[in-house]
Amino acid sequence: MPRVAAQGGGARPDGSAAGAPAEGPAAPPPAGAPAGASGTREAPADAFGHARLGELCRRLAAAATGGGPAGSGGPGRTGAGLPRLGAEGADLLDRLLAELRAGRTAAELDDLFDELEEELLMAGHSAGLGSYRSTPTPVSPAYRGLPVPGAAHPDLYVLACPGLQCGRVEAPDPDAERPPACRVFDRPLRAVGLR
Amino acid sequence: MTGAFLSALGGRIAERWLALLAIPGLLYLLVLGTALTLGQQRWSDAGLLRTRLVEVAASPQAHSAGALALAALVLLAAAAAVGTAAQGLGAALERLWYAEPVGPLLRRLADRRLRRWRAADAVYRTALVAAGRARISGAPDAGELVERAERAHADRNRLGTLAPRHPFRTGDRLAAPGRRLRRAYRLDLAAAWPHLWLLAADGTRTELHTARLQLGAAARLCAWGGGYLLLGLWWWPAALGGAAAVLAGLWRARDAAQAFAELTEALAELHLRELAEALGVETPEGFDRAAGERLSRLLGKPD
Repeated sequence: MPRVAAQGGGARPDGSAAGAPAEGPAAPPPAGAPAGASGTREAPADAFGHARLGELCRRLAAAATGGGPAGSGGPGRTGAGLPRLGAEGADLLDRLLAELRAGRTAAELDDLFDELEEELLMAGHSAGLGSYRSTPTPVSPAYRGLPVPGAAHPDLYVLACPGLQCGRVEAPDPDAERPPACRVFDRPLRAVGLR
Repeated sequence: MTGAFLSALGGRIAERWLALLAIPGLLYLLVLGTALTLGQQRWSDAGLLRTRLVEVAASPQAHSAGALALAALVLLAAAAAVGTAAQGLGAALERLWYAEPVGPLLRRLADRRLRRWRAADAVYRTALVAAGRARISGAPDAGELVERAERAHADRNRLGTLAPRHPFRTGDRLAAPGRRLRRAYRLDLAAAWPHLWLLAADGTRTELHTARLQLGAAARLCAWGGGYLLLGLWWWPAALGGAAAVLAGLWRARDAAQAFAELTEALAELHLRELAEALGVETPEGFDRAAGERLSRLLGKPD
């Protein structure tokens, strides 16, 4: 199977040429961003940094927060975290992560990224380490109003004599600037709840 | 990356074209063909349909690749044209739902709705006062009168919480947040809306956008239903499907408009104070009518 990086003349998902110089450290995922938020609905988040590293980071974060069944591998291995990734892929991922943690830049590890991308494609991750065409994060259901509109017992009230001494009772006018007043007591009418 | 992006975009456009135009359009053409073949007299004659299909399949043109390709092309073009027409009709219908009472027909519809609402409101207010009197005087039937007032309140609110001004309920539902905020805070929602939108979080905007799209989809469903109702002139079973689609569309439109209105009002209520602060409008006693008035004057930029 040809390597992904070799397809299209060495193009990578971020559009850079294979063997390009380092582009600086990878951007961490934005604080508060939902895990696995990449997909068809947003532009690739890595406007700077190593795009494939950013995508790998997001995929691992998504898998860690319940993004799917873990791949094969021993317990406690990060490489086992990606769904459907076989034992070979998990080993490769562990190797890649070990190199990164040892201080090598992502750009120096493009070969490993290529191999990992190939493993991911074989495992059914349609976009490899690209941020587009990956399975979109399920969106939360759209807002729907309460199935039973209105309270069973709305907070109804009437306006009555401030001293409750006469029989004056009125329905409130919602458009009124202020409640009507009683000229006898020179006070606004009193709100009396029905319940 | 650009190539892949364009490829993905192209795929999505094709997918949307297929889902929105081609498949419903092909289905409509299929029903149209059935309607023209069977008519009202032989509406359930499946044998006749089969015979016609066999005749078409046996014709010499059916064995020519060029003719078949041309027929497929014409069919797809016709399906797209029918789908586009339905979309246009849906958009027109949506605008009609929001329409102001302009012209004799729309004015008459709006007046009719207002008369019905006022009658229900009068019943409610009478029941409210009677229940209030009974409650204050401690009458034994106070509880029953209160329940009657609550039922009358619910009956009136089913027609609208505010007096109708539009010929259709959807228009009033969508206008309700502006009127309610005007009443509560003297706020001009139309002037404040762009600013509130900019303050809203992405998730909130997505919710509003979704509700808006659902309203458009409901209007399109009504338009398709209208098309099938038309086919009922030639083949009555099509009218059944059309009526069901129209009813479902109206039901969905009602829900979508309600959701949109509720979200609009909630967004405004949640961000009004923030907007006032951003624009330097002081709200020492919370966001009240005075603050709403100042904010509206500032945003309205009177001459």
